[in-house]
Amino acid sequence: MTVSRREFLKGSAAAIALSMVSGPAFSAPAGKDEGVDKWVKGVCRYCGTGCGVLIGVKGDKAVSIKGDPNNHNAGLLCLKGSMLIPVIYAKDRITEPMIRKGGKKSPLEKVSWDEALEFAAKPFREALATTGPNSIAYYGSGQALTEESYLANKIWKAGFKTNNVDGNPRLCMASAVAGYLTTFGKDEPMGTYNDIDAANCFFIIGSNTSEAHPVLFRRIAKRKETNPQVKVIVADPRRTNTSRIADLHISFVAGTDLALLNAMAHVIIREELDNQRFYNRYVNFVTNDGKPCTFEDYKTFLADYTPEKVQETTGVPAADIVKAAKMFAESSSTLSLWCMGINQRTRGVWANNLIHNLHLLTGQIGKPGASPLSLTGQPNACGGVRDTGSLAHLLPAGRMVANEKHRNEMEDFWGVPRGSIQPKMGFHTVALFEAMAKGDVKATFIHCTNPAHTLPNLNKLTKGLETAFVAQTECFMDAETLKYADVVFPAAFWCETEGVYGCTERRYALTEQAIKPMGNSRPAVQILMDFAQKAGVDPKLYPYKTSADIWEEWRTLSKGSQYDFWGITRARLKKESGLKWPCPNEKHPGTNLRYVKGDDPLVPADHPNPISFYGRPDGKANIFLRPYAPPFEPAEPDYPFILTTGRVIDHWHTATMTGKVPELQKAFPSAFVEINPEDAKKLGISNGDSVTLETKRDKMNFPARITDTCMAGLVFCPFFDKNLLVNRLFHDATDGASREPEYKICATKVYKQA
Amino acid sequence: MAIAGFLIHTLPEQSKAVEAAAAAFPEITTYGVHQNCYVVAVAEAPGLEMENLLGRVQSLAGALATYVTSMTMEDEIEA
Amino acid sequence: MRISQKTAFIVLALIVLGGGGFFLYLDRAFPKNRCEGAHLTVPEAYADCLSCHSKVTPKAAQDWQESKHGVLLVKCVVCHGEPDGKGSIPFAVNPEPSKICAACHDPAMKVMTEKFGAPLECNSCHPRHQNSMHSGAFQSKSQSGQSSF
Repeated sequence: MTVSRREFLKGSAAAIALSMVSGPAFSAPAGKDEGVDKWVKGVCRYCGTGCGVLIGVKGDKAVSIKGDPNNHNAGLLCLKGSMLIPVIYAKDRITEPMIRKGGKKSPLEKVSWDEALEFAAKPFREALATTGPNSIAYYGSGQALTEESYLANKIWKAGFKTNNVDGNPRLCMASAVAGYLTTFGKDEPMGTYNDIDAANCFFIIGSNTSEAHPVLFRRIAKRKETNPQVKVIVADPRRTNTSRIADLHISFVAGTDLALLNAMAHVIIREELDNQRFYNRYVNFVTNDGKPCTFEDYKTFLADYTPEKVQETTGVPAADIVKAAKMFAESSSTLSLWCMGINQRTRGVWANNLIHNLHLLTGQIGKPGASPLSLTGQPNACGGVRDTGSLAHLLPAGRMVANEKHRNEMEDFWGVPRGSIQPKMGFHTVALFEAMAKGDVKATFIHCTNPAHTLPNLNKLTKGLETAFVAQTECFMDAETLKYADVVFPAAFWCETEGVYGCTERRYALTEQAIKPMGNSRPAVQILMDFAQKAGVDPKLYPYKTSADIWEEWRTLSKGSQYDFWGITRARLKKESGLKWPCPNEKHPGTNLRYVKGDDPLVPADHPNPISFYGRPDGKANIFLRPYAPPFEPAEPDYPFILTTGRVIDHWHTATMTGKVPELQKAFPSAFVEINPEDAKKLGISNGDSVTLETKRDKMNFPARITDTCMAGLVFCPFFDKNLLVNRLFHDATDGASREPEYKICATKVYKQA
Repeated sequence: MAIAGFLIHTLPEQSKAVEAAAAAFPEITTYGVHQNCYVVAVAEAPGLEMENLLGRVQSLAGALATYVTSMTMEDEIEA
Repeated sequence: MRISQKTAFIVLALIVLGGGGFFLYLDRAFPKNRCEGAHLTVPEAYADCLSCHSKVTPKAAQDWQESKHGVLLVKCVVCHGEPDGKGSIPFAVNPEPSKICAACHDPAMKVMTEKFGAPLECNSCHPRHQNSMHSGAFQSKSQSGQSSF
């Protein structure tokens, strides 16, 4: 037989290839059977989008998760939410109470609940007896359940009688709160996610929506896909993944967005795109120091903000400013969305006001698709902290401690003597940790947050944690704050207890209990009540058996107020996938367009106008003449770069939860610094090099990631990594009105590590 | 003339289609689909053109990647 | 002048062994110091699939990048899990729709099942990794709408 050489070689080649295929085995075994006994309805543990979830329970374990088809997310989940189950069963779950018997340097030891509660309560009792109620504090969280925040607020303000009640929403949403309050008279957005489906122009500023609110980003992208005329403007010094769907991306020098927003207003008026009919009826013009003025004054004020002048300040081409302004004003419905880029600023309140100005100037408000919709970061900053008034200057349902009538209303409702609630604002977050360091606050109860990782200017403010007595609830052993805790209470985690979350769009939704608390952990409402009792607060103040009892009280309190959600009963929450307040009775379906007659039940049916900003005494909103002012620490010759911080989709905040999911941890095991290629070239830095960032506070080394996401002169670090606590580099300057720190801008040196 | 044995990794539902498309190249002989997603094939082309050819194979619709398992070029080697 | 057959076959054998060895190495477990994606700091970056797979399976990587899942950052691990099998999602080269797609798309799957009968293979109409039925995921279809990317 003759086989040609060529055929032989071909045959060999084929045989070799075939042998490669038969060798290594590839494909995965089939997934194990995940039969589920029941699906329990709840809300995702992560961001302020507030996606509804169904938790699959088999026996006594949670085994799977999927999106709730009946909630606003229509069954969809993002990367993080779809992988929540492993977090529950993390190996480092704290399941027993622990205390440090011998002071801050001694190790944490497991003890019984009784011993831990007594050990925690004693310093509080002593502080109260010797230095008074303002020497103790509570530091809470936008991730705590509404019932927990409401309870803690009541215990501390009416029980202990101190207004030292603050929380991490101070670090994230306070500027948005003050923005809504000053412009509209009441906190919380007037629109909902339904507006996304009706908007024709999206103005996204200071938000990396695709990574921070992925399911909302999808809804925006879908709107754009199905409607060719929809325009998307993304304004951000970083060109993030969010800009992939942008028609116009605007990169401005960090901190100059105030000038940009005023320039857009300038163009809108110049091009006669302002809506006179709207603002003549619904708007007051107010100077920066609070005095009434006129539209003509506003127009004169804006003469300084021509696109050409603002191009100098911001680096944005004048033509793009004009384009953005026209897109915004000419669309039949414009929706603005913003988040930390606008809020975490020393001029955060002004920036919020300026966004509202654009909507009030053009009448882009109070109709489907037209609204200024502030994106909330945490799952329950709105429902839990803002609405219940669990901040140092607030009381429930929009009341203020400084207002005697409000104090009296709360004292009467809570059954405490008149004069119990102090009139003066307590310590806001930064001031609280300063006071702890000084010894003015001797004992603090920390719930559901990780300040040793998330405070600004960490080297300075962690001294407060080193000095004061710290009792905290925590679920995970790797939380940085545990290093300073004197007492650790294991709280039941997420679906191990029942409670309400209130998300960005005024939707209150219930997470039902799916599984038992792990080990010896207890629901936080139980922990708070047991602690309060040991610390000497009258038990009549908290006669609750379950979190449902607390909900009942809060619901009753809201009745008749401008936060009225009397119609959102526990039974309805169990049946529905959340309801949007105002919702004054059980037949009411919830409110989409707040302040709009016919939609909002709090606007009387016989009101003369279609819109009523009833949060303000005259029913009109305010356009404030806010000037551009630079950030606290702009770039300077010795510190020529701006450092900004933010998030990546894979991690939530300090990664104590997402870090437990192998896929998420291994997608982003550690932090890095993003450097623009031009800057990298000048500095001789290559991808992967170790780079030193040096600010006036500290210096740290990060691996470099060279990418054109950041504009030249800007560097970015995510803050999730506990081994690279970038907040040590930041100052703690805050907005004068909201007291929110400026995590988005500080000045830094950048150089290759020596 | 170089002779290269290679595999084309495809999606299972497209393996037949990819095999047919690859076989349509005059330089390529195919030897069936294995494990549902690997087309076994041999290409003959001048060594300098081989990379180009395999690149074109990789761009076929349904082809995820090509893995070269062997290459013979002995009749192109000159003393 | 021709070289001897013996030399030629030695060369051939070496190429075969080298090529085969490469292939085997490539397709075994993903050793930590092999993937470009792990170069930044910590070697354990098994879920940073894209940086390696844009070289190893470039078409799939590009398809994903340009698809809706790519724009929305539904990353590889969400459907495929981790290759070392130590993750929370079972590793699968071909994920099973009723388990994996259903985690997010259950309502749509129920609608499709009602319309067309069960159980459907999602990717018979929605090709994996590719934009299903529309090109240019989420791009405005009008001329004036230009995407920046």
